Amino acid sequence: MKPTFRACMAWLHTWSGLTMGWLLLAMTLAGTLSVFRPEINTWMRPELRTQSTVNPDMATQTAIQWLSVHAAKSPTWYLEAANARAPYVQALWLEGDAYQDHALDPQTGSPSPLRDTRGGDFFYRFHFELQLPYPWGRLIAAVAAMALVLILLTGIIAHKRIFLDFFTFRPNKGQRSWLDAHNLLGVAALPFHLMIAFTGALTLANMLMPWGLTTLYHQDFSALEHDFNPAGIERPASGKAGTLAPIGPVLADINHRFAPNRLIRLTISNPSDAASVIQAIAAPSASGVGVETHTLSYDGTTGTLLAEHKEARPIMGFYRFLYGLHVAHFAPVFTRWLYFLSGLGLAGVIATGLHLWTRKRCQRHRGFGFRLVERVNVGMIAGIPTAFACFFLANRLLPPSLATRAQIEVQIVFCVWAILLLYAALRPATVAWRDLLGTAALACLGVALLNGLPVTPFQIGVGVTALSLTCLFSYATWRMACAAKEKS
Amino acid sequence: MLLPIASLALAAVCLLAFATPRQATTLFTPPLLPRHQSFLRTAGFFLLATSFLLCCLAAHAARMLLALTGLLGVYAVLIALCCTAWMHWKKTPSPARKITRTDHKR
Repeated sequence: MKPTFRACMAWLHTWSGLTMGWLLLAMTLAGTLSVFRPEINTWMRPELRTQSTVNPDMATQTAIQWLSVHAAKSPTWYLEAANARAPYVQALWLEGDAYQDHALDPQTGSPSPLRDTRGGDFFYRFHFELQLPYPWGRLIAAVAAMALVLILLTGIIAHKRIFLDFFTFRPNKGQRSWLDAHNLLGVAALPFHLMIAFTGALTLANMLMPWGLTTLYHQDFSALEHDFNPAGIERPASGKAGTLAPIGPVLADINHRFAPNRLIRLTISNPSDAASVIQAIAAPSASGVGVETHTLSYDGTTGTLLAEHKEARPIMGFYRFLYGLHVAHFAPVFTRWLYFLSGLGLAGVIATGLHLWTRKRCQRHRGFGFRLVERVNVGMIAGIPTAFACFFLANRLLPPSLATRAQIEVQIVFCVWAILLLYAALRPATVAWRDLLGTAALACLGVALLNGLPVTPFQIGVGVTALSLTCLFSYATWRMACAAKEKS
Repeated sequence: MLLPIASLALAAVCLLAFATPRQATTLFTPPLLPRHQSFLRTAGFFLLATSFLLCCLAAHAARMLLALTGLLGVYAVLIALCCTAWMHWKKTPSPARKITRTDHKR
């Protein structure tokens, strides 16, 4: 009999979901945590909590003073201005052959009082670079984002009773319960899932389809950059020494021109050369959704304005709107929590979908493929949250002055993840589920305890989230322990 | 502005949940009649459309629409869990009923 269109879509949904599901789960969880990237950055630097309210302009000035002394030879300084969510300046500069990426203390401008950590930037980068060198991480992430769009669309077609089952969850019914959970989480936040998948694929579209750009610009990426940002001025170093103009008046002019928005990013090219350029980018508008659209360029030595560009091209505005939707820089705290919950929902859809694949086939002949999927599912679904929780634990447990601390934190995440995957591969699936979910519960409990007495709103958020996850994983552990007992 | 819209949306999702064929037959005794279901469904869709319209008229329309869409998802999951809990409570005999049964046996 010829398969129906719906059956074909269900087949495509199943197999594309299985092949990309593990990667998508890791990307989704990392992306969900990146919604609170600045807050996680601040949480992971508890030294900042002792400081009173920060003046962003003063913080930028002290950071530039410190960089003028300690990173004068770097060709460019990239600075992210301090704000209410992240009360410090994040700076990136070249030292020798390696880029240095540090949070600078708002009072002294030096990175030394703050512990060295990647913080929320780890989750943000991992979300689309997968800790792989350029372009491989982004390329794989782009394929995964496209696959997510396909999986969602085929899932909608394959779901026969989308309205009949809309509010239905029937617990304790085996495979039926898993399917209900998969459908409920998938359908309830479907607009969010479609939006985040589509805008994610669009953000990385040039990785999959670079031919438009290469045909139009013939590998001249400076021309491309100029078209994207006409106020961006590229001046090669003159070779003559120069001193930066006092940054205070420049910042005052930037604030005046950006009002009511504020400065978000400052790039200073050739800071110790006579041909230095200061470029300023505004934060998203107070009412819109899109990312920054206003750029200013100043002569570094005189402080005079060289160029100004306020984005008004419709197609650029549309692109920035879609990109803004994905990164949610515009979002106030309430919307950020909705993004976070919807992201967790997407992770839940992927996890239940992966588990359903094994539940459907557990009564049949269990070949190598089945056993492989079953074990990798355990290692991924229980392993990723545990490994990410260990990142938070490592941040608090490693000595603050430890050398290469930031790298060690990241290494701990991947070591824990690898150990859990190995454990899942070696133990029977039911036992591995029980043990790994128990470990995840303990790791989340550890985060809640190390969070300390909640003082700031974000600390309360961390505490509540960690305790909720502890309860969820503990309940899952108890259910798995019962299942393991029944089997034995 | 968000609070009234959020309340409207909650009422809309509740009505739509009760008007879903499965919930209309399992949650209520006797089951809701088809005409009651369609009335509730119409009222639910009307409230939903009103909440979207109010978002469009708000100062930051795009942001409000996004927040409302996210909120509807959270409501849908919570109400589905409430329906499950209600069904569980309905099926599990209450202690009072148990006592009556025991008495009856005696």
